[in-house]
Amino acid sequence: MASSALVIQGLHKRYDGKPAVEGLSLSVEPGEVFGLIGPNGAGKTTTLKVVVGLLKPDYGRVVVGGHDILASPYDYKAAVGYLPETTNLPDYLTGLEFLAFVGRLRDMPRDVLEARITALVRRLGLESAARDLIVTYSKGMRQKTAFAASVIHNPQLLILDEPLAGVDPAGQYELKGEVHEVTRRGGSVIVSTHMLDTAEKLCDRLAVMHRGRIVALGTLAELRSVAQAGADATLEQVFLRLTEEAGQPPTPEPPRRRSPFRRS
Amino acid sequence: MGAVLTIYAFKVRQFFGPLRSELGAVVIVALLAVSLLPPMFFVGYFAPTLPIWQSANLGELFAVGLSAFLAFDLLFALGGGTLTHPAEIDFFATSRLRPRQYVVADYLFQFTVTNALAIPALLVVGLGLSLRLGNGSEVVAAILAFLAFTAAGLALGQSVGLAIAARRRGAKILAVGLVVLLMIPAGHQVWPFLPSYQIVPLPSAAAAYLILALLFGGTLLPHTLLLTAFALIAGIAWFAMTSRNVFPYLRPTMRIAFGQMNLRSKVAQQEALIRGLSRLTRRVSPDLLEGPPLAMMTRLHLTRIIRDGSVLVVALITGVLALISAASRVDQPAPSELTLLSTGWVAVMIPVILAFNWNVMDRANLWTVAMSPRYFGTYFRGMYRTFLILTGAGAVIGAVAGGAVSILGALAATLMSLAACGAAVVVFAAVKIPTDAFSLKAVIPFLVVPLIALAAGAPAVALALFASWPGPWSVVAWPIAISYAIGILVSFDRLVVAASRRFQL
Repeated sequence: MASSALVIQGLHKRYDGKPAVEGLSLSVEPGEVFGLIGPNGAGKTTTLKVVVGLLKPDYGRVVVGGHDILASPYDYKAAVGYLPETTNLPDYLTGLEFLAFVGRLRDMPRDVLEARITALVRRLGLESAARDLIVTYSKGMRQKTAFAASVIHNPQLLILDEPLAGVDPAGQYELKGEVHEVTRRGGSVIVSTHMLDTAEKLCDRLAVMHRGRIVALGTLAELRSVAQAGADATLEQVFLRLTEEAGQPPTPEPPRRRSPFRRS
Repeated sequence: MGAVLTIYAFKVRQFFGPLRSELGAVVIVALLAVSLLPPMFFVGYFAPTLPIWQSANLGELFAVGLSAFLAFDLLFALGGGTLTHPAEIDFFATSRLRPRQYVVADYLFQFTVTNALAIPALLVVGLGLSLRLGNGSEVVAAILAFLAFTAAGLALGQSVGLAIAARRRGAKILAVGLVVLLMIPAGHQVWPFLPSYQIVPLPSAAAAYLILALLFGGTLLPHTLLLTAFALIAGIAWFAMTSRNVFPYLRPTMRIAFGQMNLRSKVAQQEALIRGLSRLTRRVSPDLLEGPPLAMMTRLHLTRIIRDGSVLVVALITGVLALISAASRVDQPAPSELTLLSTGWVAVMIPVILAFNWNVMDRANLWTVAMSPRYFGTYFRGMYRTFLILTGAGAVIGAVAGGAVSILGALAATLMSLAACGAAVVVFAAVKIPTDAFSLKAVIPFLVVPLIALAAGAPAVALALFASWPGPWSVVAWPIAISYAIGILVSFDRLVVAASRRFQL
């Protein structure tokens, strides 16, 4: 059996002493779409940023395609694609120029890169805008361009943080098709999302995160069982039950500044 | 009047908000005031003893400054003419408020913002001047003439801007034409065939010569009449334009408060600039598929600088350099190394400002490079190379405008600004500089980069001086200077790569 695409063991990460991820462990198998769901501040984005090397963990082990990313923090990225939650794109480039730039960063030969850009632009419906500056793009077009950049080198592990936010239904359909394209090639996908109905249909397995921990992990049927929900319970119902059980939301910190309504 | 004052108070409070809520902002402004105002007094007191004060070209140089102010005001008018926060459109323009009440409040606010720093400085300079010259009432009259000029200029800018926003035919051409007309005589110092301010009846020239006539004596009437005519025309234009319902034409021109660098707002402004320039800048089309990685990165940075409008800042600073150099030649037949050094010193600001723009606009885009981290060094080397090209060009243009002097002198001056390129890239790659202007960390580049530039340029300046000495120095200095320059450039190339290893998104 092939080794796991991703293994995380005992991951801890704190920001200014405040825990963001506490002892998280999971594994993602080849050909699998793995969903990471949880309320705001659950630690999903932090986890993904650790996996792509944008954050250093405090403790824990992360292995991507058999490579320990702390021991060898660069080479493994050749097989990883990443779509961040906030897709900052260089507004001053055209879509084609941006994809060419990203492809060059991925050391793709010119002919392969040109063919890949042409195919992605056509499949994602970006043909008409590809020669325009990104600054003129709509939110959905920006998201599709960033998505194309994340898969341009045919990654074995694709990490998507809120990939469908701001994308219209047709665009969502196209992006989901591309996700399945990755798994058809034997690659794996991790998706962090708040769109539970999409996660329900798209993901093979899911992890429900709350306050930096995984409160349940498995297929939808397994999650239903953990949540003691009925066989026809939706992921939304399961999610709400699991996160309610995991505890009340943390008490917000008292405001440090004086009220903005106070007269100066 | 109540509504006008309410809106005015809102705008002032909104704009100066950081000063009300951030102790650091208050401390920095207080430090600036304490450090700048006393020197202003001495500027006023000792100005009459400076050679330039006796120069026949003083009026021309002063007119350049006032013309630049009016030109800037008209260029700002292209954006809509008012200083409007987006919330004002949402809440004021949809209320029962009369448009003119809003426009009057905005006009008062523009006058406040424009003169908030100028008035204290003028008063202090005026105090020094009046103590020296013993003509207090004339100094007060000169200050009032200056304020009257700015008041009329702002009225003209606001009305032209609203006319542009309302798509009145010819308004944009009028604004651009006035800007060109105002700045053409500035070239007289470099190209004498152009008309001087003395012979072109421009309001800025009238204000400049009127102020000088008030201070030193001279003919007042023609300048006063011209300035009054300007104020009348501006007033009529303002009255005509503000009689209309201007609310549909208000544009959100002021998203950022004083000293604030709200990232989202800054990005929105920059996006608007990129969009606005795109028809022109899209013609610059880099082939990012071709060439070695360093060449590709250099092309990428050049493209960014051209398309996001940073190149305009480079052009502006280069223009200032050329003016400084040209002005320093006035009444001085032989240009000096000092001229070149001063232009080199101003050129230091080019990489600092370019790096700041990159920090705000492009730093967050580096998640793409972060996925291929071995290219970080190449990315920043490309940035260094791009800065070298643009800053070198600026320094050379400044040097040429200042007149050719010794090549070693030019090398010394240029090396200072080129070292600043390396220092700017190293600082921004290694340190995550916040985008808030009132953050103390944001001051680091403005302190560190010029200091490094000075330290790098000093040995070259010394060599340039030694080379002018008789004897073997002139022979030895050359190879040493060239080796030193190459050493500096190569060292920064290495330092940039080392700094890129500390980069954090």
